Amino acid sequence: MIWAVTMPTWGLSMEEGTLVAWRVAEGCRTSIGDELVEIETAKIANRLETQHDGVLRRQVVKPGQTALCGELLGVIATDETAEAAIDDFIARYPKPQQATTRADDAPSSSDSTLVVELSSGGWLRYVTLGRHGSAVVLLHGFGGDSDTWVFNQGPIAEHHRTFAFDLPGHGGSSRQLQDGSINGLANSIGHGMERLGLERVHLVGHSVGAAIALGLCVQHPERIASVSLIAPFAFGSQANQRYVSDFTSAHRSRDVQRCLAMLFVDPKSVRRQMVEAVARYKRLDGVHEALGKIAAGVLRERAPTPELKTPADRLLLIRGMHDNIVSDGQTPVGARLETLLHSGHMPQMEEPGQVNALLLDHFADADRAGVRV
Amino acid sequence: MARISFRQALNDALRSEMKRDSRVVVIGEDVAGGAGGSGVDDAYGGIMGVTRGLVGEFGRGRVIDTPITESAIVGMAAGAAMTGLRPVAELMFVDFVGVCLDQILNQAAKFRYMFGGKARTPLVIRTMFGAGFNAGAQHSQCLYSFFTHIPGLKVVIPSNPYDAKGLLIQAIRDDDPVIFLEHTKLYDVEAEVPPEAYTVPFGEAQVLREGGDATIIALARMTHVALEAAVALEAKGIQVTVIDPRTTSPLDEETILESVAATGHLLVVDESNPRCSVASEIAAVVAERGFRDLKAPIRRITAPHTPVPFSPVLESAYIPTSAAIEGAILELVGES
Repeated sequence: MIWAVTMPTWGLSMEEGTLVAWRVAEGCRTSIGDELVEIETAKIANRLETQHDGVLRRQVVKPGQTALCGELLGVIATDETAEAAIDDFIARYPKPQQATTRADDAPSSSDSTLVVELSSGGWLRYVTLGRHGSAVVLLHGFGGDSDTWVFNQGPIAEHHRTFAFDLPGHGGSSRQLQDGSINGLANSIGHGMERLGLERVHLVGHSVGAAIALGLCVQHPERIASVSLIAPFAFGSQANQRYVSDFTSAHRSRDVQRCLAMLFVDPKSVRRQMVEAVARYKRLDGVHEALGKIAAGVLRERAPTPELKTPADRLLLIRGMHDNIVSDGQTPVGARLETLLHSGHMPQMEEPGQVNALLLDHFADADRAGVRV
Repeated sequence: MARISFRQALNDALRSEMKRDSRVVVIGEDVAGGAGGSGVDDAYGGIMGVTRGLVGEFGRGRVIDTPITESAIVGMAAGAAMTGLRPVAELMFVDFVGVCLDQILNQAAKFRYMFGGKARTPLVIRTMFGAGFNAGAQHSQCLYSFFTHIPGLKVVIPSNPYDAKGLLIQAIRDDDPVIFLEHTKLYDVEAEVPPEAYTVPFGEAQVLREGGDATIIALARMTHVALEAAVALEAKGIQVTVIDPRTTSPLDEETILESVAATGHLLVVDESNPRCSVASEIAAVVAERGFRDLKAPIRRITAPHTPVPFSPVLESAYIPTSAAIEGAILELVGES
């Protein structure tokens, strides 16, 4: 067997990446989940994990070189595969086309970025990927947007229909908030889901998005197949008030950078374009007010512990061991808790392979249980 | 998000602030086009079309066409600013500043200081600068170092449509006089610009590209020339950082010094004449505060100390080129 290692596409705007270093030497054995190669884009630096057990037979792209998304970086194969077969595989591997039209003419919003109107007069932007399988709704945290899921939405979409919403006041959604409460935010998302005809979904919430996911569970228990909460602001946890106020008031890129660095175990994960994208969002008229409302309405108090009708075994909590942003809350009896050792507040970006595997397992369990019922 | 031109980004900024705040007025020659004549109303919107459409939307009371008299334009705008309006005055070419320099240098820039902080002067002077149009020695100069030299003025020099809109909105909302310089060759440059209002803070440089071998500082059109050189250098295995200061007063010294600390090599590219220029100032800052980080002497690439030539051949020789930048970086990196 021969498998290709290719440049991943992390998010809709990524066109190429730079290979920083191979973590596995040519000729060495590698197993699923191993850190295989370090990749850097203008937006973020991260590690790609091995997807197949085998031997890294070739490093096609060398450290320092840049490759287009989808371009062949290396080859993993079983021991018995002949050298000639590997050479042939490399020679025949299709080269991706440079997305020149996108860079020059087209707006950044691709076909998968859409908007749903709300009866309140506002709108929600969402990114949708995947055409088959049960539906998954992804809810980012305070000050984020659907880019929170750059390492997750693609892999999840191989098995599910996915919808990553921008929360009200965030990303490409309308700025006006009716109120900054969890219930108000959950109302808007619930309305958006209704408009999209999403009758039963797996909810995934990061940080404040977790509180909103729980709010949705209370409002629409019949629509929730499972709940996954990542670095959750939920069940009595507390938000780092310094971070909340610094992030809310940050206007200069330098201040934004300092805030974003607090989210990750390795501050070097934060790249210039990520800072720039967040700074651009922060400078828009109305954003400061929207974030201020949420900060005042939600983040000052301990996170709520709602009465859930959703069975506890449908509840997955994923925490980062080194989270500086939210303190650990309680874990409801019967819920599954996973703590990732090398993550801060952003496990879905810091250890995406693990998070994706946990989420996909959790969705599959809930889908099977749903069928049994 | 739509791709729009630098010209349209400025137009968006003016329209959005005029809608938001009725004290914002536009004053200048031909800003409403054809005023008082028999031609089409609002035919021009300024010679570059930046104010087109504003007179129809906001009326002649807020889009004021003036006679050809810069001293009156700037004098009127400075007085209006002090008495409560937020005027955006337009000087057709920065080269014409000579006839209204007293209004800027001795009046607008000094009001707050002279009145013990009790007077505010929320004035923006938009003006066009730069060579490349074969427009001759009196219509092609940069002159931003004039304004940068004067305490009491803020000096803004955008290089792209996103910055142009955000910096102009910031300038209009600022309570001090701001000189806003638009390079003649940038009006048709396009980029993605958010449709809603936003501000870009003054005194924050933007890192346009990151590389570990050398730092290039460039403004306005020169950022594009520097980026072109950076691509050519990359092919030769040399990675450069390109920084756009965006405003020369205030100047973001920290970003420049941090980059020089990382690369050890500094090249300042400046389309203006070299003596007492912005390039000299940046070189001085780094020599003073970052000398120990330097692995080689600071380099400058500027226009020569001559008027801008009218002859197209000579004018192209006058403007710094990407080949010259590339050569200078190769020398710099080779020297260490």
